[in-house]
Amino acid sequence: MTREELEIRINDAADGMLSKAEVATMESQLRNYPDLMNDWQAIKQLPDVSSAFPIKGHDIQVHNLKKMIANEYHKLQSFDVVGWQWFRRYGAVAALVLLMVSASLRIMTQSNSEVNGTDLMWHEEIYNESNTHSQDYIIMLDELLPQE
Amino acid sequence: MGGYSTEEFQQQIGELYPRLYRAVSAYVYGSGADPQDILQDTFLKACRNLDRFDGSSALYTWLYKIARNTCIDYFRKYKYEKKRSAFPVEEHALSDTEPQLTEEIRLLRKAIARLPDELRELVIMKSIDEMSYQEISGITGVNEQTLKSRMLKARRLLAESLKTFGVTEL
Repeated sequence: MTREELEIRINDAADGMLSKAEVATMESQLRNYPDLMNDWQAIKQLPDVSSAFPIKGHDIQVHNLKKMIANEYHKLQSFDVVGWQWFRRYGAVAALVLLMVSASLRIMTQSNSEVNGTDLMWHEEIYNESNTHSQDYIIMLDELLPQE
Repeated sequence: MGGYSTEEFQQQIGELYPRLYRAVSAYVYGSGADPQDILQDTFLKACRNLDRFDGSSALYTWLYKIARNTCIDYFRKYKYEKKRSAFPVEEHALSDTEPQLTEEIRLLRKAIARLPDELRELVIMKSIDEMSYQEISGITGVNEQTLKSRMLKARRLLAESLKTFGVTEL
């Protein structure tokens, strides 16, 4: 085994993941790496770290916390809090939807506007062949442009 | 609301609180922070954001992330106010107020508190809270191989510290 593999094995052994036979194999390999063998011997001697902070009962704290959470829950259910939350979440989306709907309605209204008694689509209104102003504009441009 | 209603969440508190208290106590040991205050903040934040819990991880793992972030916020605030290093290991704060603790336990706590932040956190999650490397990876975002490598480093440092303190067994 390589040094890196042995280091992983040492950690696995410390985690209790290796069988006795696997630990014995690892220790025989560690003879080739005295510093790793020293590490393993030191790690084997470590006390149970979980004993440093044992689990205790916290009945009073749990009881008080439950009461606090119940109060918090009731606060969160009040109309103004719920209303504000809904506004924050959906207000922007609602405004955007309204904007899109009103823009669509405007376009539809413009495209159906009557010119000279006939219904024109928006492109017919913009590119209306009976519009003499565009022809006047073209004539004006011709006059302004330098003659070759 | 996500995976839990407020009532279901309240029912779980009795089971979750002692375990989380132990983890947070170990995490803030020596800093002067009160684990009860941090846990109170944690559970209230969790209650307000229960609808964001989608059940993709265990409830305890989700709570642990919130508790961890709450601790980090506390340390940042402490650093800003006191202009100290990120984890304030106060020598006087390492003296325990629990008279029933043995000297070896106190020294073990001291050795854990003196580890670099990321190693201390890992030792707490792995050795004290008994999380799997997969769960720890989910919380910290660090891959499992790196976690194992760090765990070995942490064990080496702990062994060195305890040898210096003269602690061989509890």
